[in-house]
Amino acid sequence: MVEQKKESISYALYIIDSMSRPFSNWDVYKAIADPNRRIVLDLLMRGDHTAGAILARVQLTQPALSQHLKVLRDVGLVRQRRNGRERIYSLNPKPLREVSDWVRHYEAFWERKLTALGEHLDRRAALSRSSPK
Amino acid sequence: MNQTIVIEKTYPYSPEEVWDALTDVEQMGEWLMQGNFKPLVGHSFQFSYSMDGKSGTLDCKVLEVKKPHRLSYTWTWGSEDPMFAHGAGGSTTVTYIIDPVAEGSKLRLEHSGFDSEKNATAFQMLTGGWQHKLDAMLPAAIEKRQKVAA
Repeated sequence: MVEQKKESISYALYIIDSMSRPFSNWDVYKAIADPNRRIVLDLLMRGDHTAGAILARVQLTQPALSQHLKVLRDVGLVRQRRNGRERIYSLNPKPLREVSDWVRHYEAFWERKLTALGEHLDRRAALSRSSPK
Repeated sequence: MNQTIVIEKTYPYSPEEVWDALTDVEQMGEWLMQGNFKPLVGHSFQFSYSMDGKSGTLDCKVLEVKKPHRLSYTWTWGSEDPMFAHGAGGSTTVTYIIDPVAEGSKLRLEHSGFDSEKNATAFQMLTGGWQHKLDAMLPAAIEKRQKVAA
């Protein structure tokens, strides 16, 4: 029951978000909805970590951590670089900053729509002026 | 934090012309979204949209029709999707207020309900109470990265 609720709430934000930009934040919401991924982000907020260093601090198997890191990298929250044989992960906070203000998404949506309304009214006015009476 | 969006725009057209654009289904499709709106209090309708090949719907219900000054309807996440049908979504309210001014009409749009308990709970649950972290730690994290990058 809780799982279903979570999904429908996630979908709720999917709908809101699609109203302002092409679904880009839906994936970020999904990414941070998982508590394990939030723990990883917490760690990376304090600084870059190797995969091993993260593993030492989370209750995850290595494959599970890899999967979570992949999700986070796919949405741009985490970056990976190599230092020799080591993989080092770092946080890119930019997607978080956008996600944290969903109201602003709708502001952008309405700005666009109300501008479109003005252009629509202008077009109608131009058409009625040019049509023979 | 104010969770009602308010945007005002002035158009060089009469309130009646603006009202028509807000309430005529064909015109709405031109600037807002396709849907089956009717300017009748209590009328339930949907908006449908597509973006990047994905499509969705919004469920709406007309609350107020005061031609040509005030129009209001609810704006709720769509119930078409089987996933959504299980749970409570988010419900907000959109209100259009038209006033005649010297230049034509002033349209005031209010989109409220983002801070309703249901929506706040939804956002809280989704982010797992992360809002405080986003607000508090984020500026520090960004600053730190900028220092490292420099």
